[in-house]
Amino acid sequence: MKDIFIFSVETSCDETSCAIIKNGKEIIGSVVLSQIDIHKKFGGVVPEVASRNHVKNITIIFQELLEKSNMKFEEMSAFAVTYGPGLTGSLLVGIEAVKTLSFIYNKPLIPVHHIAGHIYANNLVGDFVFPLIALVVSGGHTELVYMKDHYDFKKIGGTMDDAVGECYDKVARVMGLSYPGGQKIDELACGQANYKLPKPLDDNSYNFSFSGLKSSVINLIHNEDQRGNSINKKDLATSFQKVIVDTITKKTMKAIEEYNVKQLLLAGGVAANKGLRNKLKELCKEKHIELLMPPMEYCTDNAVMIGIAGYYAYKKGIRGSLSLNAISSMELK
Amino acid sequence: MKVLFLNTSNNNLVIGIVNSDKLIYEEHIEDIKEHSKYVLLSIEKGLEVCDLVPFDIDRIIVIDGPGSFTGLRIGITITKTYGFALKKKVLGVSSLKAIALSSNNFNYVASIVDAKGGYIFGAIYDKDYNIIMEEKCLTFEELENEISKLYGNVVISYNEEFLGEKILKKYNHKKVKLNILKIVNYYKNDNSVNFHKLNPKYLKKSQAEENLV
Repeated sequence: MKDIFIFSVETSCDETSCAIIKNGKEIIGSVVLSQIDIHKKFGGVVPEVASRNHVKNITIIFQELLEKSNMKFEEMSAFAVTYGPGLTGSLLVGIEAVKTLSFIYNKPLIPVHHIAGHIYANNLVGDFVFPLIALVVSGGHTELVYMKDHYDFKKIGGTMDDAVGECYDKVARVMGLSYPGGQKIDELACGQANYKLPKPLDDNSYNFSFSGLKSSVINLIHNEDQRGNSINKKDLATSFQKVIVDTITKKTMKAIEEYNVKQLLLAGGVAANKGLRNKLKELCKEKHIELLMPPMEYCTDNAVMIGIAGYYAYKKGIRGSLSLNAISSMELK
Repeated sequence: MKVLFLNTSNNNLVIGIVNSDKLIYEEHIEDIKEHSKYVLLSIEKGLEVCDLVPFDIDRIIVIDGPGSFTGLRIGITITKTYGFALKKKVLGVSSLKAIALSSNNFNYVASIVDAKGGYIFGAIYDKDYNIIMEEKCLTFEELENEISKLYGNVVISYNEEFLGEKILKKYNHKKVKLNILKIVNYYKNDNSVNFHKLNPKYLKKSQAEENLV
């Protein structure tokens, strides 16, 4: 069988990234340029600043990738790009670059959903066994997805307000932790879970709601502040993380049972959260469920995952046209 | 020498192809809201009509600003990628200068582009296109002040209407269509830039950066 090489680009937020993936499994090369230091001084990602940096660096990373992979654009089977969800201005830089390449070389253009990418990062550590459940946790998403085949996604539940990563970052900011604060909470979460916090949405659905929890943590900090009491950051981080991890894993394990699947995939930026990883490992071991988790470096945004997902989309016949536009928010289909 | 000309800096999308000093293709699409849906399709159509393939283009001239930030990034990203992939020469040219080059019958021309929020991007040139006022982001009143210092026939030129008759009525003013052949010929002997270094000239910081200062 002829090898399939996918050239992929991801610019949906603040990482400018491109990769070459062979047969949906092997990383031939990958470049990720993070803008994290640029956005630090703003306390969050500034869309206009992110877009400006993408356009500044886009061909520089292409050249670096081709040189280190020792390959040419002509050798690619198709060109894949994240077309949403994400920041419109940022997405457009990747989209226009990839459409140009697809046009110049007359090769297929593969539009990839950002979350499909996160799910497919797991293909680096094992083969998918269908049907499966994917738990997607990131700054913009908290979703449970059912897959009965490759590139076939059915969302069975999701967040009704704040995404889990968003909730982490907002709480971290109020706790005085520097941006991006989510991972700092995870690092601090090795104390006692002795702060009493409300339980988020605990019903029979697969939906999540974390804004109430977020507000009560923020209120708690303000109240203690006004009383002149100091917060034990370690204990608060531990309490907060425990509530989140317990809520997410409870619903996830319920989905695994109800849908009778044998494999669970963890995906998204919050997949790097050690508290969540450890709890899922423990629960999956107990229930004899195979758990795939992306390597730490591929939990955050990167083009490798887009190239892998792009390969399966390519196999399925998914194609984009030169009028492909950015879509800032859309469901995974 | 085949040159591809591109303007995505405002709502009037322009694609042109010049072959040895002859304009062989031009398309002007007005009132474009989402450039992304049209630009590459229009380039594809243009090349097809001229019976050319992407590799046949020797040079790309793109409007690099000032103008719509998102619009500029679309044209620049396409140009950089095209130039990098096929090792073609690229050059970014000013939207204000391009408007001046597309204007006629003046001693001085004040080119203006919408900068939103009550501001304009403007520049003033004499009849030989020497710079009288450098490109900058300013108010219309500030531009009027500059114009008042000039003697002779001054025309205010723009490619897209945004100020309205009321504001412009004191002046000789005209909406111009970009003169592709004149612009391409004017920059004929200008050295091309390295595609990595081709970037939009925003002339304005992002809101967040302004707030930081």
